[in-house]
Amino acid sequence: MKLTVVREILFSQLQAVARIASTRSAVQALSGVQLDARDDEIELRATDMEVGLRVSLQADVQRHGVAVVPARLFLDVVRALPAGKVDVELRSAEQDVEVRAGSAAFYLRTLRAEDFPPFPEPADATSLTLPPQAFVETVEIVARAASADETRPVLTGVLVSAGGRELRMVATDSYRLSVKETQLDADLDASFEANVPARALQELARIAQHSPDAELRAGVGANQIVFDVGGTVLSSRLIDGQFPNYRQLIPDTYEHELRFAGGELTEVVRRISLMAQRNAPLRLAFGDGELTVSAQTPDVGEARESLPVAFSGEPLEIGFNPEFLRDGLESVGEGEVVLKLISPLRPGLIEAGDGSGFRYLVMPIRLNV
Amino acid sequence: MNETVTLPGTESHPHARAVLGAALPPGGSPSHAYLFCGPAGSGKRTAARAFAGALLADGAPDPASVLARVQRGSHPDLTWVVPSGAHDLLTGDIAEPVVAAAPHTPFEARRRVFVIERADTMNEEAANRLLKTLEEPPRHAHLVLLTERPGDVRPTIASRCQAVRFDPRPAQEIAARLERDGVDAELAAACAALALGDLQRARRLAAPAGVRLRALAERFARAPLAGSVDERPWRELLELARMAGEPAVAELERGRDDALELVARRDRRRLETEHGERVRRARRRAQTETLDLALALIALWYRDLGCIAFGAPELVAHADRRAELQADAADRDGRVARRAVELVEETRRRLSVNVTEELACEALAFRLEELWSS
Repeated sequence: MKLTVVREILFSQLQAVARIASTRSAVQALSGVQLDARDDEIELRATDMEVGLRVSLQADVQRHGVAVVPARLFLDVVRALPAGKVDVELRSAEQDVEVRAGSAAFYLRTLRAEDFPPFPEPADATSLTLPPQAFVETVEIVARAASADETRPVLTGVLVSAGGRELRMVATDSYRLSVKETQLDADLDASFEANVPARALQELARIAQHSPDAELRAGVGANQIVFDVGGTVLSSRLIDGQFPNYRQLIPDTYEHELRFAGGELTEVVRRISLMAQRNAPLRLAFGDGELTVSAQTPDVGEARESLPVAFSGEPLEIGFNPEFLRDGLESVGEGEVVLKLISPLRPGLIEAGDGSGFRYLVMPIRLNV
Repeated sequence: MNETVTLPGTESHPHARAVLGAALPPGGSPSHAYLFCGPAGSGKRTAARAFAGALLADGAPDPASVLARVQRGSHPDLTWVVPSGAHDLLTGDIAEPVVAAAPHTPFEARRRVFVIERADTMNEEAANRLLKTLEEPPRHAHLVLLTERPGDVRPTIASRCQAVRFDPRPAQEIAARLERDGVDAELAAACAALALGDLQRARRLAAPAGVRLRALAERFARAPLAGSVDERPWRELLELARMAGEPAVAELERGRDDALELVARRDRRRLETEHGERVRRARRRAQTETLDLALALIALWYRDLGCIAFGAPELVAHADRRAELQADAADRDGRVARRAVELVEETRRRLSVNVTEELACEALAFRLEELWSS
């Protein structure tokens, strides 16, 4: 393998790829990035055996070949190189890769290329084009509700359904449930439903943000999902198992439906949450025409703030985990927030008032007094 | 049935050959969980690796590369769990690598294979975590549990796996293998008998360090008979056990230096801590294993005494020490020998709960002396 490449191009792509390389695998080759030199382009690949990322970039290839070099080290070296052309050559006899720029020369010991797995290209894949902006926005709103708890692996994913004119994502950690049904401008060319690890979607969102104009394509096979963002290809394992039927979990009717102007409630909740430490709940007390948000942590202090709301009937006090409530409110963003409640012991629902299809169900905390 | 294929490692195990041969692709349908039972050195690991290779290479575009990576342990769809505790399999060994990973679909193969060594050493929490995976396994997941002590595998685990039997190797076969390696015939026969079907153990006993271990174990065993326990025969034995940890540690140290070269500085401290813990456990494991082997030899010495006392000298395992055994057995009661074996076995069991080894050995020696002088 022998090639010449522009440092800036190599560095920017390498940055994205090196993130994926494993930092704690027993297989040494996985801490590396694979360079595959073909005609006039090289492909950089990295994987931690869960997610795989490959990206191709233009290069002047003098000799084909494949090499695996330590990802972090290679990134640090390329970052430090002067601007301009970089020569990269695999020296098989020495088992290293020579990196030259100007008069600087580096020799990086290669890792076992044979241990680097082939990248998934599912033959049975359903392939479709997705609107990148809608996809990324939906991921950002929903994915944070996915569980980080390994004991229920099925909840660590986001259930993604795409078909017709709708893109839907659902995530839950069993304390809250986040659903976004995004209406698209045009019909999709195919449909699929898959439980995708939240981490893979978050990586994808990060990549897509860097190239906002790129086309997003998805290929969904039985075992792998492959996203292509303008030539950067991210693949991931899927999660097998029964995702909770979220429709059953969301109540049909509510006692109270309360509307708050954009960001108003979010600000109050953010402030008062400062005093809800050590798992203390955030209290929402509704009285005639008024909501009082309060928090109290023994030995730390307390806080309260009121805001007007069109509430009538028997007073109602309900407690929530401050972080979960804030997540839901922040996901609505600047628009109007609709808060739907039944009773202090039934889940509350946060909805986007603009009809953008976002719903967020959150379990209450039982209040002792 | 796919009877023509013999999986490596199952050549001398008809039950394993029948069960696993029938499960091999393309014709067979592998079960979601197997429990490979058989003594150490009977080929369970070799068979598990070969079985995983066959399952993962099925339908692969480049089967040779799959098999090579399965052998090296770098295939993304093969997870191989070795207990990291000094004596047991910890929750962390399976929580993330197996329970959380199993529902994730294969990376490149049609299936995923999880091999768990020493399944009998699973602590209660680890076993409970694994139950769910065994009860409702994802359709692509296949678990292979290995054990030398099937009786110690929790019934909740064992009942959810298909048992695959690996028979102990006959002593003659082991002796022949040792002789082929250049071991003297008499020593080979004795080591083969003492190894109880475990080829690795036979090799260890036939090596110079093994000969020394046998000599020390014999001294320990004979001291209570001669009434010379106050010479503290366990001292040298414990010293030998302490030394046994060093090769394993040296091996790990080398691996650490290689790994540290490649990581960023911020990951280094974490890796070093993790490594320190591994070294500590590896040393402890090697020490306990050596001491356990010595105690097994001591128990066998008393068993042999019993054999002679009961008039069955042909069953003696210490085949190269008949004269000493005959001398020890003179005017002894076989039933006392049996009680002595029980005392030694009790001490072996205690080793796994982290007793102080020196005290345990000392207590054993004095109990034995009391027993034999009664």
